[in-house]
Amino acid sequence: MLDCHNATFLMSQARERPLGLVERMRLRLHAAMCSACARFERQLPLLGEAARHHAGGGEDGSNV
Amino acid sequence: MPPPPSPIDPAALARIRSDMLRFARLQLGNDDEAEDVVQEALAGALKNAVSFRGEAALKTWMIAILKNKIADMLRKRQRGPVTASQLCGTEDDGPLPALFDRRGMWRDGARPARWEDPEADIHSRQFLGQFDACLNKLPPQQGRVFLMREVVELEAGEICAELGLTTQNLHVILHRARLALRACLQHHWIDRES
Repeated sequence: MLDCHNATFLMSQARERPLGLVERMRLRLHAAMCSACARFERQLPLLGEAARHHAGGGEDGSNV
Repeated sequence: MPPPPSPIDPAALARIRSDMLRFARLQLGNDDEAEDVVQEALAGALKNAVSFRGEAALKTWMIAILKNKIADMLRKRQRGPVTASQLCGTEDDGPLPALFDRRGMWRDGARPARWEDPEADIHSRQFLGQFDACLNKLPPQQGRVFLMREVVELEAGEICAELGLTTQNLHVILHRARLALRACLQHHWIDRES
């Protein structure tokens, strides 16, 4: 059984590499039972989006 | 009626230039190279600049050009002589706040909370100010790697080659950066009203 630390590690890696079938299954199983990790997963891409806006590369680019 | 296109305002250009420099310095870790890429990006952008609806549109475009120039410069370095990375060393792990307990479960105060309206936040100047503060709290290598990946959008392999990291290192650094950044934002932004 995947713990939260390792679940978030896989979620993070999924932004750099495709996860394998077993990894995906373990992750889905964990996220289905753990709302905190499910939130973490939804918030991950937002960090990248915020970073792009912060750098001025967002669609309105008005913020730094 | 849409506003008429206006010529580029020199003051706006100066502001954009200083933001670009800050960004390029962070990515390249070298002032001369940062000056060079920013100069090239500005020259390229201005050559083609006809009109922009204000500073924001101009800046978005210039940052996009700058990102390409930085990516080119980083790729070029890989083919050149090995550069000792200024940031390579022991700090890549950085201190991680104790988010998980010994069983690897979220500690009570660290559990990700619901983020009500992230899209609105990402467009708010206040939020981006907080984001900046959180980014600056990361160990320098973590922050740099995170930006190389998420803003310059280099592939994992390119970042590893540039910084002399193994893939596993890179995954660990990015995981820590994201955990720390998210925790900081939760602490200073998401939880601010509760």
